[in-house]
Amino acid sequence: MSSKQKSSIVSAFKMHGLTLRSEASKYLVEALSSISESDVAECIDRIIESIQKQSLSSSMLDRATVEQAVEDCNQEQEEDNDKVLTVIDAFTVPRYTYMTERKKFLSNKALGIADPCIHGDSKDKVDLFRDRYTILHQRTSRHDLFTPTVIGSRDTKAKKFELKPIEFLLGSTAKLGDIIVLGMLTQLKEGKWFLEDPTGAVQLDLTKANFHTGLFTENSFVLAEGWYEDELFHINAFGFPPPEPSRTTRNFFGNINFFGGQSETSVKASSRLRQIEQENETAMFVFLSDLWLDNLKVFEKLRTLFTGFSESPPTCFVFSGNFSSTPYGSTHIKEMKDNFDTLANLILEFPSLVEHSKFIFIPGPRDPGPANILPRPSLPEVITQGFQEKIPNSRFTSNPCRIQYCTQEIVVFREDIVTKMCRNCVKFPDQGDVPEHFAKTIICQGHLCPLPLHVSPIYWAHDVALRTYPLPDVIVCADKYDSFSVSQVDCQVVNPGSFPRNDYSFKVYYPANRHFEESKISD
Amino acid sequence: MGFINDLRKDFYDVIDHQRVLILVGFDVDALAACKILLHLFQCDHVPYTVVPVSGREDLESAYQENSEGVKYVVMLNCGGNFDVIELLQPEDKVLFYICDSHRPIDVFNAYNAVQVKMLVEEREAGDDLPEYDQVFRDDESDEDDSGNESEGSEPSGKKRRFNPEALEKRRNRRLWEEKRTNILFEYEQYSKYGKSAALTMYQMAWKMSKDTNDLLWLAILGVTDQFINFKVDRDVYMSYIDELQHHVSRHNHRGDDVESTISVNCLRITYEEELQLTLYRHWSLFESLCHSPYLACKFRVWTMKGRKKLHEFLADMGLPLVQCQQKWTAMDVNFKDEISSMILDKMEKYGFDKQYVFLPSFHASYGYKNKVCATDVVLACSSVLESIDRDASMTDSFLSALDVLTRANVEAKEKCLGLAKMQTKAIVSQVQSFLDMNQIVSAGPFLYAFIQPGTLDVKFFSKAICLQRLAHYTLEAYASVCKSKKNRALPLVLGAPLDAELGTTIIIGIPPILDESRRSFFGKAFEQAGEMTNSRMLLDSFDSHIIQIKSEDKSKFFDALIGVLQ
Amino acid sequence: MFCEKALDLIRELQRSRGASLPPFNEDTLRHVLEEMKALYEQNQQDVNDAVQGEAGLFSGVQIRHAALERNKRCILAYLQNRLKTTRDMRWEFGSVLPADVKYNLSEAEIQWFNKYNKSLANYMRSLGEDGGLDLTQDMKPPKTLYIEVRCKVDHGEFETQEGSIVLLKKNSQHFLLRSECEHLIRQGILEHIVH
Repeated sequence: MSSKQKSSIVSAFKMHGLTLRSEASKYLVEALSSISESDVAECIDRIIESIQKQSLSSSMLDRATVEQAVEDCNQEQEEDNDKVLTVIDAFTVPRYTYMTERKKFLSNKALGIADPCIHGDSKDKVDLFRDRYTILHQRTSRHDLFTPTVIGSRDTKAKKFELKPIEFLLGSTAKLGDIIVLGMLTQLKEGKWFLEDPTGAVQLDLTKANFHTGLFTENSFVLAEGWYEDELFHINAFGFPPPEPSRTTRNFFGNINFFGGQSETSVKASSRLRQIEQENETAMFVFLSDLWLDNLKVFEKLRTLFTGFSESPPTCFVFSGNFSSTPYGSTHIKEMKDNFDTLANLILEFPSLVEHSKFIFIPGPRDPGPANILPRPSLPEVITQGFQEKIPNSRFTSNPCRIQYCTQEIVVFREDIVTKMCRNCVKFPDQGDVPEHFAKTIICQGHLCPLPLHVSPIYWAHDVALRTYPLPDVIVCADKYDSFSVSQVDCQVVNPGSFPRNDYSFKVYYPANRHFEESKISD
Repeated sequence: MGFINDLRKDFYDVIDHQRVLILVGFDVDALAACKILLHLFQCDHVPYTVVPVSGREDLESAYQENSEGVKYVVMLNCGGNFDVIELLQPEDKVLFYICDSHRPIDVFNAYNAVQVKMLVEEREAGDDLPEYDQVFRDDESDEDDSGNESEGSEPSGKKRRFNPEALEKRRNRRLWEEKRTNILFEYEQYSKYGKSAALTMYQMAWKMSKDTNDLLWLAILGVTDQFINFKVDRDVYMSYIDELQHHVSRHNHRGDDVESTISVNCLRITYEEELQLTLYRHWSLFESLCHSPYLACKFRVWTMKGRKKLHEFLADMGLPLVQCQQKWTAMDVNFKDEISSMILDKMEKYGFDKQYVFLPSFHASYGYKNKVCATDVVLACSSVLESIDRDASMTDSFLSALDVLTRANVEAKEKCLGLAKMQTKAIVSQVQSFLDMNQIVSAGPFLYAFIQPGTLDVKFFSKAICLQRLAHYTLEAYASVCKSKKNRALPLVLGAPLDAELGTTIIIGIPPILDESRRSFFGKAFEQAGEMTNSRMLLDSFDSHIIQIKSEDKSKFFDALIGVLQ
Repeated sequence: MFCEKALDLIRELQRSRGASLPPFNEDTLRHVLEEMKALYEQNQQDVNDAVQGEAGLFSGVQIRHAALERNKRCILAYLQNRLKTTRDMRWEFGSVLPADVKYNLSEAEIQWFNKYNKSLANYMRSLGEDGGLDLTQDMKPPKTLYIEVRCKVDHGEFETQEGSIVLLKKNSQHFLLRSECEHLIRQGILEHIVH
């Protein structure tokens, strides 16, 4: 009996061009022995399908591959509910390398590049700036302004520019006019501004420079237009590299999952998730920042908040730090722990919230933990363990963190970055309001924190976590600054404001219609 | 008894389309036998796997790896002279068919009729084989006595029948055991070679009427290999040649009709009295004369006087020196045709013995260009088998050698002949250095010589077949220069460095050249000497007269050897 | 001139005949599609103008239309030929493509290959009895039932149809059923010995 089964299994695999090793075939015979005859063929089909999904190097299958396939098949039976809401830690963000010749992104796993440790080496620091440049460069060169005219189109009048590398400038002896260069603003010498790219650096003359909208900080990437003579690049205008809506990015690169999470392809493509998102109209995300747990008033307001939400519990509460108003002291950690326990007890008073809502906590800059370097890992377990035991549906994650809800990508970042950027500008913009400039900056720069490393240090190897390319749907930048909400290029940049300082205000997000509602708990 | 007389019925038909594992030893005879067997298996669609083995350890590992699900194992030129079952520990239903030309056949193999079948005719092997009863004893009651024979005392706890019967039994048993040891010692003392494996296989093919000219040629190669490597004596060789000649004339009988000649590309074998000049068809005559053992030693070409004598000889025959030093193929056709008769004429004058200059053998021709004689092919094949190429593993060489035997592979043969020439030159220069530096010393019961590590071409001599040729050449050369008659009749022990990193030496012992029977007692002698001195040696090879030993233990081993052989 | 980029695609395929597939030239393809879009829009506009009454635009529309058709044809030829080569690979290599070949195929082509695999397998299984008939074997009429093969690389154990296990170690020589080792020969693991 079993030899007949075995031969039928082997021949089924052979039709698909696959051969089984002897141990693999033995294993399969055992595994399928419990299944009835009529189902065996179907099972074999499914196993073969899942084997083909694995990347095989040869047509000879060994036992491990087959076991994996059988497991996958079994797992498919289960529903994948957890895909609806996923929280992605900054240290588990997927890594991709851009291959310039192929114009494609390839995952580092496929290239065999290992995941880095927290403290990278000198190569990582160089790569940090290089990668930022590469991404912006490929994005810019694909933009309409820089692609050569298509033959056959009538609009030959539209001015097309050509991006030149800096070595082009440095290599020419004559005067060059009408040049556009993409590079990074640096102060290689004190007081003198330079534009740098992987091919070289050129000194700038900013006397007549006209700055377009945006906060131009040191170490941000700019498009500089001007004329060049005698090793000095006279700038006429500065602009940011044009942003790219995520739709366009996906058009070019297919369904690669840049965001993170369990699914292999980008969740935007999943129609099932889109349907869930649209049906679930009452889904809500509550964003709150500066949750000072040592402040009694905050607790009162929180109680009001929870009471208000307890009838229709939101999908998720996103609380970002700082979690105490006075950060220092030897008893800091013990106090925090107690505060969290109190918070847990508070939440336990509202059983509907405990059951239906997820609680996400993001550490702030003054919370206990390692030094103030981004990305910042989650609050230590010693503080959070008690809370997590009481409220199991909670998650303590890193700063920044990514949340994927159905097809929407939300990035949450807690850092007093707006003021830092304003302080580090080359030239503070005269007109327009700061939130607009700020939103434009982080969208165009493709990075949450385009500041010099000495102002806002970043773990060199984990710069990926701070990237905003491809553009997410929502960027929640929790800041001390006043709350604002700006929408540009299909992306909403929002600041819920500081809960205790700004009159107990917070923001609620409705994913179904992509709408932010500002709320306050006044006295 | 596990001897098979009817090869077809008891061996070939038994296999009957089931998988066979073929283990092949590392010599040309085994290769030829292997090729014949493979041809037969291919005709009958018997699936097989061929694995070459170079020694006992290799055999064991090859068996372990390949034996899953195999019920029939055929061993060619390996496994005959030691207990196969004990070494390999196979399952009960595995059958071994051993076609080995090494003698003496191990008694366990011979009498294990269940699992081991020797593909040898009983009368050929059975002459000196001890009787079953002399070697094995089935009595049950000896079990409790067996352990206590050597000690006189008895454990007090056990109940013993202290009666004369038991004493008598024990005494009988002790006598029997002593007699057994003696018999075995006598049986295994001398090692020699029996019928060529290739010839056996060919005969089996003939009985099945599946023999062809190609298989016949392979059988010829096997037999020639045995003779060239001094494994059989001339009389035995002549009897084989007679038998083969019948087959040759049967296959190569050409009708008188000119029209019915077979195609030029077919293999044609002809009988000929070959000149025993090494590779002369592929070399120049002069070089060949300098590198042939018998003639070179007769002339003593390593001396100036000898060279002059050689020139004289050539002039006497009427061969211009220029011609002789050209490649054979470029020589004048008249000279090429007449060379045998010319040498025949002058033989007496120079004191040659006909049987060493001329050898009845065969050569094969196919196509217009290719004509090779059996000795040349054997030399080429063994040079490839033992090629010193660092990149080629043992199995690579084995497969290349197997390809050489395929007659269609002409360029391979050319390359190998080059290798064979290099080997021969190395041998000759080594012999010359031995004689020049008087390195052949008499140790009483035997002569010995060592090749110093670091000598040029020493890597050639770490291989068995080449080392054997060197040993024979050396002995012959020594015998021709040696004054003392006693020393001329001594056997030779030759040592060469094997592996510099591991510090091992390979040692070979050959019987004296005047001993026609070609049987060597060195196998047992080495074993005993090694045991006596606790030297670290490896009796791995299937030929018992070749061993490997750690270089440090060399000197004490030698002293022991002298003691054993005196 | 119009359609030059499309011709580039065809030239690329022609040049790589005999060698392996070049990488999927997404750039050029996009370019051609852009060109077609521009041409189409202009045509649309001209047709509207012509309907309004402007004269002399018809020849322009014709040229552009011809260019559009040609572009379409070139692109389709490019895609079709690549798929054809991919399909031939299934018959030659088997269903698992080596990594370097896979690198050169686009996602859609890989999916097509998998689907083709599946269809072929289903078809083969429906033929004949007892599991189906493997059509990818014996592409040339075999001369013998069994063949002698030599193993070129260590491949581990291999199970024959009768159940016996052969150890494919480097430089071992075996005599096996042709049907079983054919795909290994095609992959280069075994070498067929001819006499």
